[in-house]
Amino acid sequence: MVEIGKEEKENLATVLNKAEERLLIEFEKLPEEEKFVMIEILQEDMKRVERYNTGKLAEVGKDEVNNYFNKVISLIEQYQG
Amino acid sequence: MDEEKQLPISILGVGSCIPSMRLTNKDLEGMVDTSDEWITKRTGIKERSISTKKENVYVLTALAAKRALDDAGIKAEEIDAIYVGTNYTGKYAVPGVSHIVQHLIGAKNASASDVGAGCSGGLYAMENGIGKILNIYYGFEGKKNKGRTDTKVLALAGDTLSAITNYKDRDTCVLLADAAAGIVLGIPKNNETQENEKGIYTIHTRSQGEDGHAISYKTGFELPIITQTGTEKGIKLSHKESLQRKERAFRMDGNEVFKFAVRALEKITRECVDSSKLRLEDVKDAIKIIPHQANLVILDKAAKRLGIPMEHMYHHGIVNYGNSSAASLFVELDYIYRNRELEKGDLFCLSAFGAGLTYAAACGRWTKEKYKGEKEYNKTQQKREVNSLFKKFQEWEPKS
Repeated sequence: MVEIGKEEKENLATVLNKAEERLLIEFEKLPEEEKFVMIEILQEDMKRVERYNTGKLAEVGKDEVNNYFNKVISLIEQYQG
Repeated sequence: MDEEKQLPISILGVGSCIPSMRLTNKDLEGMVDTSDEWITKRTGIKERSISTKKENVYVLTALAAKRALDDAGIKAEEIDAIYVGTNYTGKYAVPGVSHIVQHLIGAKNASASDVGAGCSGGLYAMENGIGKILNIYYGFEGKKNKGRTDTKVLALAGDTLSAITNYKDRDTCVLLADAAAGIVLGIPKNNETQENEKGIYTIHTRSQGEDGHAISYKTGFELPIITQTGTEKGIKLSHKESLQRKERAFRMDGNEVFKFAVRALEKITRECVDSSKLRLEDVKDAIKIIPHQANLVILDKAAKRLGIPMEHMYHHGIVNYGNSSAASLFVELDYIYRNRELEKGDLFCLSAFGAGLTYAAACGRWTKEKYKGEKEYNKTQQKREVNSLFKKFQEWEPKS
């Protein structure tokens, strides 16, 4: 059954859920002048997603993961030159 | 607002209709590149309720309306107005779902109109219903009816999203489902209510059309013919229909909608709770949040932001029936009510967000006694009622 809301075993899907929340909700909420501070955290998130990006879930989630990577990379370029 | 003078408009009855077919994650594995584990972790959904040809949006919504009327102990002729929140997923663009439902249930004395507000449509219908009761009470429908406190309104929501789903688009086909549900609104007969029995406190509706492109579809669909569910085969469409759906069916910018949904659900729930002078932190008199069943991950994030446990953010429907748009919140309300999780005096907050982009919430105290009947609707009886309503629908249809 669904385990959301409780402690759950991490996999690519759950790690991506958390990383996307940081990228889409928390990062966008920050004032423009503070966004660069969170870039390092986003990079850590990206590495974590990369570590979990293997096996069957990586196959079925490839579009979502690529979309996520593209968004983070574009932000890194924007805020770190 | 002078609270002492607020009319105690309440929910007098609830009903829902879940169609008979189920599209499982296993079915979807055979239709698009996905897996049960991926869908479960990313959306929380295990199964979607899907209509057969006979369970079209008119039949589903009419049956939900009849059940809400039964629950309220009211005859269809007593209804003054019908509002249906819908995404126009039926066979006809004109007349509206509400007009056909009016005929199917025999609500001869009602006015009827559809409300297009995406997944928030049920709450927009509810707002219209409250407006109708107040219009009559304050004399906007003539002096003869001024002061009337026995106005009854059906606020319904119904959709057959399977009719507009692109079953090759795994971002959306894993979410969408079919269902209908609704409530009867009115003033309880014993309207000398105590403060803690006052019914609906506040209702808020909002929209931001500038971002409306994030969820859309083009018109002109009918329900698919379901060949098999419960197996890997799922829903099979002809090549021609698949191509048409690729071009015109439901589409959604998932990231934009996710961002909007989490923020909107938190914002409108807080706004509504605050304006009702309630407190989310109140543990003794906890508010039961009954949200649009869109995606469990969104509900989980919103619950954390609101600082409430997931037990108070009801989510049975999303796991078991999928996202049935405007109907989903009333389906959840009906489920909670019939499972005796709502009793007189309980605080509740209905919250929704969706296409438009829209968002809405309504807060109040439950004024009905704890439900004592059967928890589930009888499936054999439902089949008979669907057949009967579908026959009436066919007889009503214009002859070419």
